[in-house]
Amino acid sequence: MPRLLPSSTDRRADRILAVAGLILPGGAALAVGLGVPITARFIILVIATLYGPATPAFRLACQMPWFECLALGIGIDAALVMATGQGMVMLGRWAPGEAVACLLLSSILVAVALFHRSVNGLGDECS
Amino acid sequence: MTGGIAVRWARKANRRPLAEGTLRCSLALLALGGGLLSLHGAHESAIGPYGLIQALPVGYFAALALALLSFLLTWASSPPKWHEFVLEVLVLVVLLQGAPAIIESEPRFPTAWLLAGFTDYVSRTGHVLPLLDARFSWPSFFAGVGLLERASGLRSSVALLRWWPLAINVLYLPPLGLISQRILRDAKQTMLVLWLFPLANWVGQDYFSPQSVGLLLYLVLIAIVIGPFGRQRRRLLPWRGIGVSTEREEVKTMRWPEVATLLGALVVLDLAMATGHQLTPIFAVVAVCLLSTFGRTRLKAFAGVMFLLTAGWICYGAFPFWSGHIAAIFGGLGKVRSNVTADLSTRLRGSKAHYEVVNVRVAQSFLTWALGVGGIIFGQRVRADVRTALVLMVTPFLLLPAQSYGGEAGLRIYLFSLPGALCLASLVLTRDWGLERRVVLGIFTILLVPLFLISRWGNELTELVRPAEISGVQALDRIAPAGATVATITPEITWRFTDILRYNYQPDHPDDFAFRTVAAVVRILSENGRNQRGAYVIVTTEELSFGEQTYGLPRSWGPSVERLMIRSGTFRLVFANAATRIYQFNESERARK
Repeated sequence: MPRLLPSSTDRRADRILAVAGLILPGGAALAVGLGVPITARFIILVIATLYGPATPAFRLACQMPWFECLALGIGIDAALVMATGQGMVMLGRWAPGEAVACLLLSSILVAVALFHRSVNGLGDECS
Repeated sequence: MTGGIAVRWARKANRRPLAEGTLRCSLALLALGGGLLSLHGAHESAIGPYGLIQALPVGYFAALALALLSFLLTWASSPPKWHEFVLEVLVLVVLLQGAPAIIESEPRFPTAWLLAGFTDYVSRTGHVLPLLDARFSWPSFFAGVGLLERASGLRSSVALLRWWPLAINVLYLPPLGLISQRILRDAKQTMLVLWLFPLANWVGQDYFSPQSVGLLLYLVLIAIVIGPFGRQRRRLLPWRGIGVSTEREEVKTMRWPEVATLLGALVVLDLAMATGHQLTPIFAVVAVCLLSTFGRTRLKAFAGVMFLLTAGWICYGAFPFWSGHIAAIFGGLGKVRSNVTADLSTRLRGSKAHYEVVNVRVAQSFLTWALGVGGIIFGQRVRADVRTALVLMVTPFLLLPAQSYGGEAGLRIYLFSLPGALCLASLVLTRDWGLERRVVLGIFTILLVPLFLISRWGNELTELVRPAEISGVQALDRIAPAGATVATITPEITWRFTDILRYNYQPDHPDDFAFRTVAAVVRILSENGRNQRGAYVIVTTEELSFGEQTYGLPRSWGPSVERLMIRSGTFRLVFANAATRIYQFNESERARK
């Protein structure tokens, strides 16, 4: 089926998605660390947690066009945050800071793997 | 010389699309700027019985017309440019969803404030209160937002209420685009679906709520089920095709990491849905089951997994809810007529204006569904996957024989049928009718704009939250000690957003509306036992508007109840501002009398 929505399946897209997967969690961590205004901090944190780890993971494992990775990844990351929160409520261990840190760290790890692939040329497999 | 002219012409021809694109983008940006400017000049006080539309300035309508013109130009260009379209549809969503956020002083809709209170409670404590409210039996939305709220240090999720509908409506568009692309296989028709969705979605379930995120998760799940896992089997009955090579399969070979990632994503989506909302996972299970039956997905057993997760959560996690409400859950089973009646009777009533608003909603819904049915008829000869669209449109209707969902089943059915119905509608609207397609689309969209503005924001007089109401509720916190009984005279009130456990709130069920007379108020306050910490009644403009609009009570009703409360001697006015009065109930005075 021809792709009708904008798609970019080259190595550059891999790199952009990977770099975003590194910058956004890093930015969120900085925002929390530097004590930027709470509303801005919340927005940055939400963007970072909605972007990863699903968006770079989709690109890494499924080799979808970047638009599809982003469109699906945001919803899956929202679900991941909800499921994580739900799990903590059920287990009776409420540790939001640690949970968000884990999500951001997993996003960074996936982004590193994606970046590694794009640098080593395996991104050419994307079709 | 001739060569020079040819080169100049070629350069001009090359520049033309660029200039046209710039023009279209400029129109969209002009619409955005003009619309936002005009909204800043609008007044909240102009909102009337027909809702927000009465407060919208002429400039706003001009901005919407410009946005429409920009879309039609882009849509007609060949090939249509996605980046231009994305800008235009974003402008449309901002103008439509941003209107109340800009005009109104406080974030709208009392239920959103209540859910913010729920979220803040989970964020603070890490616990849920399933015996307090049924929504706590499906708490993953509160837990998820609470998680981010606490991690970022946000004090209250009330800060999210104003722009939540705009953000969530933007997030719906990408997965909806993937679904439409898969079904329609045509860029222009996909664009049309995305353009029509914000205008057709009048249901108003996009406020800060589990349902708003539930729809997003549903769209993403369907996009995966019919996208990467999609297939195109022609025959309805698979066994009839055995040995015959007429099946047109478009199956992409998938590697195991891809399958594992996608299945993992589906499980996470379903977990969040099953623990986050009552209805959404049921719609999702049925849709995936039917898509599998009709050969539209390779996921044959996944509907079973989804069913087990959903049923498992209802049996285990939602036990506190259903253990006392079996009749509420299964009472409507098989009673299509009573479920439909419950749906319509709770809506088709009230003041004349409210009745007309509801009629517009019904008309808009039937228009969308009629176009959907038209798409089934006219879509047979095109290459679109009509069967998938049909499944998505029809699946939500299967709720009717099962539940009235507190009189809200119709709203949910319409909301969840929209992706399928709009795909089918786009087949009708883009068909060659002998007229210029842009004209057909232009007329249809122009018709949809006022329909949307009335049906979406038609209850704004009731759903508007006034600053004086918020300060009134904050005053209640200062006046009434924790643990006191606090009652309202209608259930439509913005409260419980600071501490959901502070008072014994009456009515405790949102559908209760027994407080039409002073005797009823006294009875309710007395029935709850003599409260040593006192009892209070709070009356807000929002409550009175609700009685007038939704129940058709006369304007004099509210003030007369309040007058009688004071005359009875058992109530004492302890606070008043422009939109709120707080009365203290004097139990001993009542007993003396």
